[in-house]
Amino acid sequence: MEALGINLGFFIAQLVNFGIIFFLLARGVWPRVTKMLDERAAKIAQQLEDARAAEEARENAERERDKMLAQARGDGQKLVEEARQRGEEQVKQILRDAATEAEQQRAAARAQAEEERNRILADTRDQIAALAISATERLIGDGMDEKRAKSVLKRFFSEAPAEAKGLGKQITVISAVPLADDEKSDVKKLTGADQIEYKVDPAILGGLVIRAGDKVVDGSVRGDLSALSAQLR
Amino acid sequence: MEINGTDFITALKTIGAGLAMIGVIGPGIGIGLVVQGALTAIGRNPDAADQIITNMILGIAFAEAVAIYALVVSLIILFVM
Amino acid sequence: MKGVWILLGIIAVSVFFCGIVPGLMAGQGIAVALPVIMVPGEKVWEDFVGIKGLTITNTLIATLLTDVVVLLFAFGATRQMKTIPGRLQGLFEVITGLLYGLAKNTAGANAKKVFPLMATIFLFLLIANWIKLIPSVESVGLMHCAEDGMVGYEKVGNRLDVRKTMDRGVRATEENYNLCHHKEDGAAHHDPTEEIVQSALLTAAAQELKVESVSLKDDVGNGSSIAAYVGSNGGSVEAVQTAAVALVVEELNKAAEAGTVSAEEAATVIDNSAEVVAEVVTENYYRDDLYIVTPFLRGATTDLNLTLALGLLAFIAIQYFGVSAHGIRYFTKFVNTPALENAGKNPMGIMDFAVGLLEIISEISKILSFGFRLFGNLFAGGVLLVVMSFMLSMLVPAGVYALELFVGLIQAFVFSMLLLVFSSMAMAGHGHDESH
Repeated sequence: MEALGINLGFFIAQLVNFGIIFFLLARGVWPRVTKMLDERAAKIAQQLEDARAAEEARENAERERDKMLAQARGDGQKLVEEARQRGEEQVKQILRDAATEAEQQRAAARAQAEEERNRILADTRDQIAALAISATERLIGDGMDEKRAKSVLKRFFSEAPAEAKGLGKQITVISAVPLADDEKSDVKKLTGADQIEYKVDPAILGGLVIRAGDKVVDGSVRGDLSALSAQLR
Repeated sequence: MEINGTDFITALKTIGAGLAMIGVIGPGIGIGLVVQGALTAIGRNPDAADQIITNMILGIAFAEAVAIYALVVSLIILFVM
Repeated sequence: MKGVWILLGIIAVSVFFCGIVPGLMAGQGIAVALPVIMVPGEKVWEDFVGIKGLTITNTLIATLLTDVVVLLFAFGATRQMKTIPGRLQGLFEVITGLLYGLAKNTAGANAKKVFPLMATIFLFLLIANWIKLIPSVESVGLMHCAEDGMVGYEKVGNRLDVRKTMDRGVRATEENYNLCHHKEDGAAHHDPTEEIVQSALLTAAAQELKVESVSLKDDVGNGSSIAAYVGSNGGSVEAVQTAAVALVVEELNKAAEAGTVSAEEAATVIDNSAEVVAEVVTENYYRDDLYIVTPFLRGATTDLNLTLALGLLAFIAIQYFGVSAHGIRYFTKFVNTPALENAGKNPMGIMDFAVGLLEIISEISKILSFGFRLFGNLFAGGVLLVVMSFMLSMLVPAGVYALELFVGLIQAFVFSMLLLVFSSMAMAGHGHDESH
């Protein structure tokens, strides 16, 4: 026994030691633990029962809800469709209005710019006349009366070519400077057209270019110059 | 190397302890059979697994007790005699 | 996926601690001393705090530590019981809930009676078995002189000097212990005669092997004798002995003249010089430096006192439960008087009576079965672990360690389970017996 370490003293010590541990735990721990475990088991059973009841109630509620939901969904669909259509119309209207307004503004701006340019060109016309008269005076060393000078200028700027007669009822007249009213009536008389559209293009330098449909009668200074340069070559 | 009486007895004790441990063969086979039976049973009836495992552990414990007796005998031979 | 990472982590940690750490600390960790394997709890302090006869063993210390841990855990976890438990309480309730469920399944209405003892035993054994596995338990302890028959090693600083793996050390003798003890006490035990014999032997061995000198420590080494060393190096042991005897006689005469050894002692030793030399050459070479370590803690359940005490308690508890359920009639299970009375009607009653008597033996053997099962498993586990570490200090012990974790749990479970089953059988089975 001694060689196996079995010793009465140690044996009793171990018995007492474990006895104390058991006593302490049996007093302080196990009753509370078993109570807690039992309570929890009861509570879990209760909760399972509750959960089953709740599940049933929930299922009922779910069915009800599904029904209501289906109805509401129908109504909602209709409303949404209506609203969408109305909205689309509105958008279209707004776009249309905006486009019209923009077009109007653009046209107004263009007309204004045209007018401005014509005004400026009309102003320059007198200056050009003065310059031309003084240059001619130097050239020919003789004074030129104002009337003659004016007629020269008038011829330079607004004499319609002879071929322009009888081109058609609708023509377009392009001049280097805006034409005065009397000039316009001269042109009208000459061409015999009913509707005349006047355009200004300083690039033609002088004279008139008359267009009717696909016909062009070039009485411009630039046309003369380019014909001259072609001949000189 | 000279072998005296003490050495001889030590040698015999060691051999005896080794022989005593042959006794664990039986429990080894026994535990194997117990587990085999338990696993077959669980395979047939998985619902009863808890009960079967409890009893299996009991069976293993009984079979193992025999192995422990062999161990104790060999310990006694080695350390006590 | 998470599981794979955890597994890899565990492997990495075990490789690190079982492989790399000993590898880096070569010579310190790679070789493990063969520990003292003994069944009784090793004595750590005798006559503790001056009380005569109060011996403290390491298993006793471990038991007390287990007590503390059990009490802290149980009371700490249940101090403030909440319906929704915290971590500690949750852990505690997982364990106890499992046991309680088992008790209810097995013992039914009697579960409340058995549960406290069963749960206490399970908790106590589980913690005791796992405390045993904490590193440094069973390995860190008091270093002292190796006693007779124990395997000792030299010491370096505060650890045993194990130079190579599987170093078996030197089996100490009574003489080694006394020498070592004297050295420890400070009074240098200086026996000139012994020194003369030892140095004469080493000189003779050196002459025989034709080397400059033979060192006890480096050449002969731990665990082998001078005779074995000479023999394995091709020398003749007899020649060494003869030469040594001559040297001893010569040196002793010189010493007697110089007065370092008394004339009578010298004469006695000279007369017996052949035997003295023969004894020393084969094993005993006056070493005073053999130490062993007695761990402060050893698994509480590796002490038979504890396991048998628990076995006895379980036995008493089973009888108590039986008596509390059936009163004095419980004992008719063993001494089957009703069967004997009815023997006239039913002759097989005599057989029942005899079986009842056999039951006594099997009932009492439960104490031993309980006690030795627990002890055997845990003691064998501990020995397996230390022997594995001794043979292969890397990686392999980690596997054994895992096995031991499992065994510790299973044994605690088996003990409480058996207690539960036997108790419920004692409480329930009797009415059935009487019916036939």
